Amino acid sequence: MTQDGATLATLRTRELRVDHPVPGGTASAVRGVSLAVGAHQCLGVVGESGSGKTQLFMAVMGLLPGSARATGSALFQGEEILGLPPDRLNRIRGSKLAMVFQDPMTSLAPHLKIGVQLAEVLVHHRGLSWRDAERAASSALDRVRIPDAQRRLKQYPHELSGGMRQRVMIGMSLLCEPALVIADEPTSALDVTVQARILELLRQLRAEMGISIVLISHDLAVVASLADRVAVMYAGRVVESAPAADLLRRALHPYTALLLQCLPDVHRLRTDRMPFLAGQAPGAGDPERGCAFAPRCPRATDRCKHERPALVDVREAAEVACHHPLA
Amino acid sequence: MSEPLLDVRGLGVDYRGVRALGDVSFQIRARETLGLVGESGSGKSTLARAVLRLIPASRGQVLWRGMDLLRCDGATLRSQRRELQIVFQDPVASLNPRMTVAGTLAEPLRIFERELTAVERRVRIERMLTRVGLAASMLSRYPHELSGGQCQRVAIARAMMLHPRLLVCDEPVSSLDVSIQGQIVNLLADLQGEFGTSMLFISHNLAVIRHISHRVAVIHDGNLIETASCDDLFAAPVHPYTRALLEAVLAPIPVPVPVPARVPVEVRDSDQSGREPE
Repeated sequence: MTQDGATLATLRTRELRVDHPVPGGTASAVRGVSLAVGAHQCLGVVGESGSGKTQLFMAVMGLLPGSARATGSALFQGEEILGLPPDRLNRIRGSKLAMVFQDPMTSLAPHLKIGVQLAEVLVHHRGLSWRDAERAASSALDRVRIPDAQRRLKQYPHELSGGMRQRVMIGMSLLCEPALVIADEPTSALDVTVQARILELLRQLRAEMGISIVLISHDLAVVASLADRVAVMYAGRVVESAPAADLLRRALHPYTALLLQCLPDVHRLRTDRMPFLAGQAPGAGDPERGCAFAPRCPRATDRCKHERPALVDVREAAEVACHHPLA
Repeated sequence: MSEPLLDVRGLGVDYRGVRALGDVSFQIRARETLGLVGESGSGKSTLARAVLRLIPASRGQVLWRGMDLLRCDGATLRSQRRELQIVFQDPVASLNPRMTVAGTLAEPLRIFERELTAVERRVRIERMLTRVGLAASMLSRYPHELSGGQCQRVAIARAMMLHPRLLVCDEPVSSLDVSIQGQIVNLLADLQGEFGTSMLFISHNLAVIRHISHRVAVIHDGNLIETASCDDLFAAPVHPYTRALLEAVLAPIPVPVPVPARVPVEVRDSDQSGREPE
């Protein structure tokens, strides 16, 4: 499996869907997403709340609630991981495939010291003795540039700042040297100065360890600072996917362009109106007719209301699902 | 210059001997928005709550139209509450989950304008709901049936029901999507112009602060370290911390993004070479 790693995408999903049963029908949070993350690549996934970006990767991680149904395919290093039994999945999760969540407070156990939580991962996945595991935990904190690791290991999560806790979470995700780290809004709960430092850390770790990263965020500016490639999600589908620089310079989908305009800009003057996207995205329970973005789209025509645009190649390495793309 | 509406002098808050807010002084004039910017733990929310006496202050004065809010009795304080309103960060948590939108908006009127008839109340509620951009059909909804942005509009409508003189906004857009933050900021700016409300607008987001504030105060470790007019602060920050804060903002996207124009009647093929029309 590992020897084909170079030619295979680290993660590849095909027509992945996530359906939740609701009274009187199903709510489709993800409506068929195909995307790939190559080795050493960083894929940014952008979308508003409810766009399905988190649900998609919860499905990949096997973390959906029991009632939800994930269909399609998700190949991790060539192995199908969708619907894998928990014991098989647990061998992959936490070791080769790790996740960092938004809220570093609730994702650490409040009653256990940092050192114990880190060491536990290695005892469980690598069969290390507690003594060796704690030594490794200390170097994990060094790796994420936490000074005075020995003292930190003996502290509880509440004794650490938000940025420090997120560093611990990142350190924990890297303990078993994973091939892929999925970071879901890793900096959204943090201050701007801390956010910049965490993104810089991820950038350095990626260069040092050659990991692949999926960076999920509602903030295009965050994603743009790290990702090679960006996929924009809307109403459970990818509407545009392109190399990050191209996407920012020449957005193809009107939604992406409008999202870019909404980015907060400190250079914008007080007298200006703050740009925003009018209207609301359709919910997971809403039936799909035509292009989901059409009601909010300034370029929408009659065709958009009836015929759903497929995701097609328009430029080298760029795909868009729009009848009237820009440029 | 006119008398300040709010004159905070040496306000400090200690939590069990820990100094959360040092010794803070600032003024807000009528129709003015003071932006308060700082990182988590800097004391922003403590300051907001101490000014409104939602938490006890340890020292200092909060002079509200000449009266010290920290020392007035309960009845006086309650009578002033209608002039002093607040919008919190988490719009869902700040609404009562068991109250409809109509119930939530009726409450301030039931307390402070008891003479209103049910019909008059209804008219006031509907007018305010429309003003914040929500349809009258929302009145019978519960918070869980609304989006985050809609909940925040309801919270703003509730705060504005009594036409307060001072509106404190504690991170009102931080938990909303980037795409709708602008709507809420614009709405607050409009309401301020219309009702002549003064605002204490708290945020960690410098772009948002710049949009809405006349003057900006920077808070760090419980102390105000720099207060300046909005333009001066962004053009020439004096304090090193302010400068660091401005530098930490992620670089804006370098190239201006084209506005998606309406599609011409003749729809062109999408694979034309990359230059976009201006």
